[in-house]
Amino acid sequence: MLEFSGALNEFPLFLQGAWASILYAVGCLTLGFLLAVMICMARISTVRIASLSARVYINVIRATPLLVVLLIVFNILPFVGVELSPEASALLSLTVCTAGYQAEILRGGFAGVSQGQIEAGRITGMSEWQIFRHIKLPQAFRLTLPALINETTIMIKGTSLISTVGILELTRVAQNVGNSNFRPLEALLIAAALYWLMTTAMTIAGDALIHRYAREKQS
Amino acid sequence: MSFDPAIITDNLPQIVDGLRLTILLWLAGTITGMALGFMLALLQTSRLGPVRFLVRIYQSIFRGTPFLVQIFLLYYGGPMIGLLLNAETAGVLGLALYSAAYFTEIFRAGFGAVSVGQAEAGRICGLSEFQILCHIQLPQMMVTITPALVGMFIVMSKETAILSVMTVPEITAVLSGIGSATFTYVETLLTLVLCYWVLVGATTWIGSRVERHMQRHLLPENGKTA
Repeated sequence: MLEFSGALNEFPLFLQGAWASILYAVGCLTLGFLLAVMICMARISTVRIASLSARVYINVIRATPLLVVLLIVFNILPFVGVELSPEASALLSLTVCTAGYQAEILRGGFAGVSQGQIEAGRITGMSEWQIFRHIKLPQAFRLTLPALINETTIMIKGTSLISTVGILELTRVAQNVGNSNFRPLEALLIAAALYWLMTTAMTIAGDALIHRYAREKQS
Repeated sequence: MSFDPAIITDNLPQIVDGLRLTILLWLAGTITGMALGFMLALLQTSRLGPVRFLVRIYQSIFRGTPFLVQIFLLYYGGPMIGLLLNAETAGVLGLALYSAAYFTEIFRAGFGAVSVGQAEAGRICGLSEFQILCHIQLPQMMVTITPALVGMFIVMSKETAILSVMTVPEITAVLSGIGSATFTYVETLLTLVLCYWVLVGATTWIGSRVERHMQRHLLPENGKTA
């Protein structure tokens, strides 16, 4: 009933697709994290307008499906004169999306850093930047690590949506192979297995990191 | 950049139909998923190792692969093994199977939050397993898991957008269709964002009411101090 040989002949294509998916995921998560830190700083700042705009950004992005963000970036940006390549547009969509979620995650983390440590930093003569870089950020990151890892797996899966705007990644490869040999089931199953490997590896690596941090804290 | 609201008002019946279909598929899929997730969570409390293992495999597969790939498998792969579904049915089934994996985890955490001693006390008092579930475990776990359940409903409301890819005429398909036919992306897509924003906002609001209802025994009564 299932006939994998046709799809497996194209296995190198699947691996290339998976590699592209990984690159998009790593790219959007890294850029998204940097953007999220900035949005989060704005969100918790005492400057009204900054905190309000960050709040609006987070609420709107978290209420908008990634697919709709893709539609907006691909159709409205060229309309207002911003010309980006499809690849850059896809990366931008994924980034603005995950940044909204990561900002909200990090907000909880920054709130968990005790005020006493920040004051201690100030007394020992650290600049605000040093306090941020060496006291606030590392702790906020560790405190929110489980949620951030969850977001990572969500985005690995989320990259499949950029196939709908013509980016060649794992889902697109599976569709192409399935269409050309008229066996979409097998091609999609191979893609699903590869996605499963990626997300599962990520979860295992994440758990290991969480445990290492937990041990470091104890010792 | 021009903004022509007429494009929305002219196509209002179509848009309302799309929104109605989105809500219908979302609720049908997510409520079915919640029921399925609850049953899987019950199975996970089983003493049989293989049963628990199978539930874990189910969760791992449906949480570890993209929703888009899952509905492609159902809709394009299904016919190859004799599973012929129309797009809406495949959509509801896909939403249910996907969300069930997450709901299982939420209910499992809920069962874990109610102390084992209480279930044992119920058993000693002669309550049946079903009575223990309905009168001891469920009322208490609902208090702790309501926020997570509401969160899952919100996640699923946004996943319905993906059904537009397989020709389901829900709100994303309708509005982006109008947008590409008339080159009015700004009007249509902003309306689309607004639709989801209202949907998520309403769910959050209803969720917080439900949450308060579940916790009413923990709150001081009607302004009286406890």
